[in-house]
Amino acid sequence: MWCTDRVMGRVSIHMGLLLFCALVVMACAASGRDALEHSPRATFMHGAVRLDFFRPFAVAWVRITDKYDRTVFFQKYGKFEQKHLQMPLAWEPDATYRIDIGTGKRTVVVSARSPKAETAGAAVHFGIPYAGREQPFSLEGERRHSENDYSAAMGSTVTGGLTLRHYGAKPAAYQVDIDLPEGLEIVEVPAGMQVSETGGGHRLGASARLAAPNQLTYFVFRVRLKTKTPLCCKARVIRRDAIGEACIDRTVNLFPMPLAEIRENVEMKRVFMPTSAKGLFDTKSRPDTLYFGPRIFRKLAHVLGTASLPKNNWSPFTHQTVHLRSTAKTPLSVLVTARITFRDSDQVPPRFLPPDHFTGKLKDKSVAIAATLAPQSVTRIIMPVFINSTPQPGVYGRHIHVYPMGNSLPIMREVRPLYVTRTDTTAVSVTLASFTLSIGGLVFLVVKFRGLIADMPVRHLVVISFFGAVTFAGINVPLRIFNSLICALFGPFSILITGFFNDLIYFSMIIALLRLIPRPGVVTLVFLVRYLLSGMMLGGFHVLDLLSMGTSLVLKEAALYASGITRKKDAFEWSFFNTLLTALLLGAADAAINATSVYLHVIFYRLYFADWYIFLSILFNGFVYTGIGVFFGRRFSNTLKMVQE
Amino acid sequence: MEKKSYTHGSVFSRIDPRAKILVLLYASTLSVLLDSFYALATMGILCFTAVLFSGLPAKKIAWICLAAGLVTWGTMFSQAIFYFGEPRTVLFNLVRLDTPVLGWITGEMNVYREGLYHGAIQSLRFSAMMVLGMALCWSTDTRGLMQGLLGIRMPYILSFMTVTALRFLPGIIQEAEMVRRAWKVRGMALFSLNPFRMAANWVIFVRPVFINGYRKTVILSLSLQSRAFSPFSDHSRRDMPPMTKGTRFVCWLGFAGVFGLLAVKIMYWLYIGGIYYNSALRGVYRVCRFYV
Repeated sequence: MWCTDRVMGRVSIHMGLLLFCALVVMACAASGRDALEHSPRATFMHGAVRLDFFRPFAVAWVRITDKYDRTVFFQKYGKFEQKHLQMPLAWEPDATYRIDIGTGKRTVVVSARSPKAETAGAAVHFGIPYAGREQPFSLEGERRHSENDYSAAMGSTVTGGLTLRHYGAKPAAYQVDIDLPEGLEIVEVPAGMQVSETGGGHRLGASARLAAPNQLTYFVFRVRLKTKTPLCCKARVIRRDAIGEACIDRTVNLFPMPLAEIRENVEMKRVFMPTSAKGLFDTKSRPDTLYFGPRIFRKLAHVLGTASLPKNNWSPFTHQTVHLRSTAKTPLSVLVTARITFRDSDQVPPRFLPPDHFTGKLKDKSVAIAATLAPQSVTRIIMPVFINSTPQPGVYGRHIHVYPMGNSLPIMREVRPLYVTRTDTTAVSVTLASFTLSIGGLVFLVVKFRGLIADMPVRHLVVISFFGAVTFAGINVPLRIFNSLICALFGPFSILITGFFNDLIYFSMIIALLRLIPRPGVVTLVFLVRYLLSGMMLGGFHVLDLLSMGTSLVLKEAALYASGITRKKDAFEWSFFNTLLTALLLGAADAAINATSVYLHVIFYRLYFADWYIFLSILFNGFVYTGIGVFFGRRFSNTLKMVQE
Repeated sequence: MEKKSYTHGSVFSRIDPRAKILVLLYASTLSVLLDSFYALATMGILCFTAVLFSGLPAKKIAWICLAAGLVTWGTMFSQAIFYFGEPRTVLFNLVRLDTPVLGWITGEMNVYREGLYHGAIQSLRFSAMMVLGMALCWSTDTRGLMQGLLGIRMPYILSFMTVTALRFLPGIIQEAEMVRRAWKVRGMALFSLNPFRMAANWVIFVRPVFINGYRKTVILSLSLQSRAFSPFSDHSRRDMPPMTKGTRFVCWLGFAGVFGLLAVKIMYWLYIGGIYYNSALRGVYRVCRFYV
């Protein structure tokens, strides 16, 4: 009975769990459908269409077709969740548009009819401090009334501004009035703007007539904050056209704040580079790194139409994005500057100088972006990075400063590294040359192999085999046993020890063999026999051997042929001069082989080598050991010659 | 000195030698292609697993592990010094700029922490290949490997020469041992800190080995000629039986896998180099970036 109860209890628990899981799955499925079950709302705006989703939704792509079924807009999106989507579109009045929204799995179709006529109106943005450009397609500017909060450092001089964009095909006259309270002292007003005194402050007045659609005008002034109390600034724009009159009001509540309070409320969360113009990290790049590929690749990309050639000085090469977090209860207006300097100095390298157009009057050659930090949230500030020619590889410093608007003292300084990397053209060139040589050598070997050995007596083949065995036993076996230990103990200096076996002893034996059989192809055969023995006895077959082996054989055979040993054959005189020439030519060939080996490791095994190491490798393993090896080989071969005779 | 397989009866020793050579070539291609730490580590683990299940004696496995450990440390050591990627953290200084001679040659030489990591990761390429190569080599006798090489179209003349070289090895070792004993009796040392002295010693050491060996080559070649043997004639070669269907399938599967990975990697390199981008391949790029 007790058992049955326990079993029943377990069953009920399992059933409960199953039911819970089923509910969770159903809830998840239901929540996944919600966003598109309620069709998104399409709103036609000036030069754009806006889609409003029921909740943030991942859109894969959007296509808009007109009444003639022509695609007038198509854009792929990165499946980032967004609640609103604004798409630029020069729509025609009183027309039906079909909007296809793809999610990757299915497509939702929305039909929307544009207004009968493009509504006339105006977008007005007013700010003190004026901390940003008018957002394209923004609905905010078209509201009749709006009220925003701004802040600025106490006692600072800030720039205020009002931008006015005219919508509609017909001209309109605009009257702009800006009321500034007593606590603001006017420092500078643009020409043509009238200043008059009102009961408790000043009024700035101006008028303009705008006729072209989307025409933009702006009014900029500078004021100084004299008080510690909040200030209320108002702007009124009256629009008059043939139809009638419209009034647009903007109110700015300006909160003067002590510098220390601004500093406490701003925090730099993250800095990304390189990013897109929208502030998204370029995932194909390494963080804080700018990579400059070979010029030939850039040209190839241009030919293929996948990338443009280096842009002009006026457009950003890339961007960096700063995430600033504000804990203040009111928006904070800040100026963020960034400049790239040498690592150890404060100077901006000429290749990172931003164009004057963007530097404005800043003295420190910075890029400056004004931004308003929304209260208690993170604001993304995207800053362009200008490069006018390919910089030298190395480490640079990115100095990012944050200033409160109207103040010259930064509240935050951040220095981040910038790594500039380039393709190692030497390594690539050497690898390509090695590849070409190997292919050439391989083709030559395939075509001429039979010819090389055709008239070779069996005795020669046996002698070559013997030398192959000796080189294997005298070089490969000790190296296989001790190489790892030598490398572990001596690190980069191990080449000086391994080179003794690899070059000095090897060339001694090769020269001794060539003294006996001075024929082309002998070195190749010894090498191949040694390689096969090594592969079979010690397990060393590698796909890259084709590359290194091909280069090595071609260069050695060429050096021996040039020195006259395999060209003159038995007529070659082993005089001191001829031996020296052989040593030099073989040394040069071996230097090239050593360099190739190092660079193949750099390219294919992603290893780093210092220049001095490459130099040591070329000098000692290439010239010194090879040269000594050639002379020792000549001396050693005298005995063998005696035995042969 | 013909090398015998150490793994009689194990799965490894039963695999067709041609398939073993092909697997080795595929693995070596992968060791060059792979970049991700996870992929390299997976390859390393697979290679070590192959060694563990190869049926090799424990002593051999221990030797392989020691060699792999030394290779890893050697690579870490050199990369810790040579690393010039960024960021990098100096652990300690080896050579200062004002150090006499060495400072002039090498400049400031530091040991970098990131270089040690980089070396450890990159050494997986070498150690994995070394381990697999040794496992495959030691689990196959020389004759089998030679037949395998012939099976993948190696010229017969090379096979003949390699076998001949193999036959010389015991004699060479015997001669070298005799000379070593003679040197020992006379109180002579082969190794010296002076490279010229050491090279001269080496030449003196190998001279008798060479002369005796060379004499034997004359005898062997005369013996071969007297039997009218010619390595150039086709009737000297023995054909290998064809691979089984299963082995052939595995070889082709490996080829397709490696070739596919190469194609994927090329697409990724084209994207990284800014030469070709296709949004339909975003998944491929992502996989390549994080896992390949």
